[in-house]
Amino acid sequence: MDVARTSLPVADAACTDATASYAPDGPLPAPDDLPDGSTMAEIRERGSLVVGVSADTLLMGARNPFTGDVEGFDIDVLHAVSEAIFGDPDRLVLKVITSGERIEVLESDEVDLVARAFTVTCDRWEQIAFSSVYYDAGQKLLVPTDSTATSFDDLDGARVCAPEGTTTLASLDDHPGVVPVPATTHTQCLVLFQQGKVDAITGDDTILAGFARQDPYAKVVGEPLSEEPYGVGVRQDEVDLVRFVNAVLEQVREDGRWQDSYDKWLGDLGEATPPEPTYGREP
Amino acid sequence: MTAPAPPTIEPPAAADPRTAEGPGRGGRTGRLLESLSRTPGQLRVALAVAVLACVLVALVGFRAGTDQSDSVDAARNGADRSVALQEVRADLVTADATAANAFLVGGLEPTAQREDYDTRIEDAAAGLAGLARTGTVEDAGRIGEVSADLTEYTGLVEQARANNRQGFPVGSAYLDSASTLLREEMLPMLDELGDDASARTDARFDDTATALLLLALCLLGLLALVAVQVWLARRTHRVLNVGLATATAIVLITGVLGTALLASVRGTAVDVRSGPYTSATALAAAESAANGAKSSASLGLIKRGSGEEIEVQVDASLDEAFDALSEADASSTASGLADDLQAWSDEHDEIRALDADGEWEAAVAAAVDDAPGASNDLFDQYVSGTEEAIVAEAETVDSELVSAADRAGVGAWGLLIGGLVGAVAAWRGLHQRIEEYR
Repeated sequence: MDVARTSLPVADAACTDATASYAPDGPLPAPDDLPDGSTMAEIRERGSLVVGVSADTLLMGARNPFTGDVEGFDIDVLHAVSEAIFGDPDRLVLKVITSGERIEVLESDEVDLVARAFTVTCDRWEQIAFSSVYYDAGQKLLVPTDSTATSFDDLDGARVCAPEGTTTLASLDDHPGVVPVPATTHTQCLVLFQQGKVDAITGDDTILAGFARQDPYAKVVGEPLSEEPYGVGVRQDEVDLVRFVNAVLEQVREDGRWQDSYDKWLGDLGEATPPEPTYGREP
Repeated sequence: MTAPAPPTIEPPAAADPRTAEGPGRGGRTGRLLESLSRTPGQLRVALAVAVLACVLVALVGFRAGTDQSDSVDAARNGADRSVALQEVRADLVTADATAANAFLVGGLEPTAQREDYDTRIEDAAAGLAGLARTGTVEDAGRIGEVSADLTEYTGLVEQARANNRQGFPVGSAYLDSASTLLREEMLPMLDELGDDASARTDARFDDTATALLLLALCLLGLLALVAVQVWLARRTHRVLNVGLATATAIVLITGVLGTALLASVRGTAVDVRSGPYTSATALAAAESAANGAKSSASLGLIKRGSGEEIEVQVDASLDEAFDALSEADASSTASGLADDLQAWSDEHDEIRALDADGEWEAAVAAAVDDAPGASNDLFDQYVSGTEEAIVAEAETVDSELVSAADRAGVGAWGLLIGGLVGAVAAWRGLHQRIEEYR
């Protein structure tokens, strides 16, 4: 009992605010002036920034079949980091991963960064580190255009799809009325939805907006059921890289690049301003 | 012993001491025993034995020959069916590989690939329809399921295309669903059907040996003929009964010829089974496996940069294909095909290296290139070479087994006629003897 009592508050104290990241280490250094021995210098030495992304999440990270490029709001953030390290936004090596693989590709050293609609949580902080929040998404519902449902309460007995290994799927446990249907990827959920095998999809509004754009018979509804603050995933021990990415994000928020990218990809979701970063975490 | 011994040397009656007690027995049995105790009676029995022996040879030989002919026909049908199943499988996997590769190109797929996909699907559907008509009821049920899945499969691929044309990433999820349906539902069902078909074919090939065992019964007939002759020679003190000797000779010669013929049919069946039949099924398996590798290779590129995990599947499928090719080694073309596949595999390794180095665009460009010597061209060479070899082997199986069945048929009729002619000769030979007692 005592052990449990003392250990719980300690864990809480380490992570009272999941969105709090490591503060930038002063202003962003020039690409040719990266600190010696830093993770960034290592990446620059290597010649490319290896990143884990989605290639099928329209608007966030999706392969444009006409150009072959992977593009979206997540990808723009990574281009900004590449620009800061190399002075060239296109030094990215993209590895397409599923949402279930986001943590393991960082832990196994396969990628430097993950930007794939990645919600910052205290649980995940125990395995990896996050940048400051670059977008505040919210979990919503995708339903057929003729549906009147606006929340889980209206979906009693309905089959609701969410991808495996995500907080979204776990969140369905809070709604005993719905039948959770897992799929390998979020896009597979859209396939099941279009085939009539599920009645609704739940997920971040960013992802659902991309689905609605691909399917004129689907709409995104409801107030955000949860807050899904997106951060860039970094390996836990690479605190210098986290600080560096945060400095990049500071710049992106201030010089209008964030707004341009938002308007280009997510403008359908309404007006938005860059989320204020929170810091205060120490390794 | 002074020959020729006149028949009167042995008077028709009272020569046998046993006849003395004969009349006392009375009744039918008595009369039968009594007649058997006299030479003409015994000769009649000998006649019956000799004629029956010849008829036995005729009937057993005919049965053995027709049985073997039927077994060979059944083996041929089974072999055709096994190869046809493998071909349907190969068509489906090739269609899937083509669709996946076309997907890499982007929104507008190349016309040639689209046509190739369509042809493959049509061939597979026609193949399934043919198999459903000719198989067992149970087979037809399972083939019906595969056909229904095929409809769903093509529907998913169409949806993948429609979405892809509009640039919607959900297209790749539809393609993925289609491939999953193929891999997890359709192929296992076809493999099950293929296993059953090849087990049945193997059993039919085994049956071609039982005919020879049946033929061993003819030896009994021959022994009976010889025994009758020996008995007759002792009883009549004549060395040779021409009719019986002719019968024995005819039975012996047709028996030897028939056995040789049926043995050669059996030999052909054994050779076909281990040669062109094994090669045809192995080649078709090699075609399927290689296409599986190509599908996985395309899927690996679609997954961009995460293809290493799928690479395991590519390697496993390639190993399977090379193994199958070495099984088909009997045919001289197989080693050439292995070289063709190796050429594609080498090219694929380079493409993988490009993707691993972050040169995804270059990797895709190389993977969809069908210029001479490029990835798709190398693969097409392998596939068309394999298909030509399968057709050639299947034709050999067919023609060899058709001629073997014909030979078994000739053997059957030869043994029947030989046996019956022998029976007539034996009857004439002994009948003549019996007549001498009248």
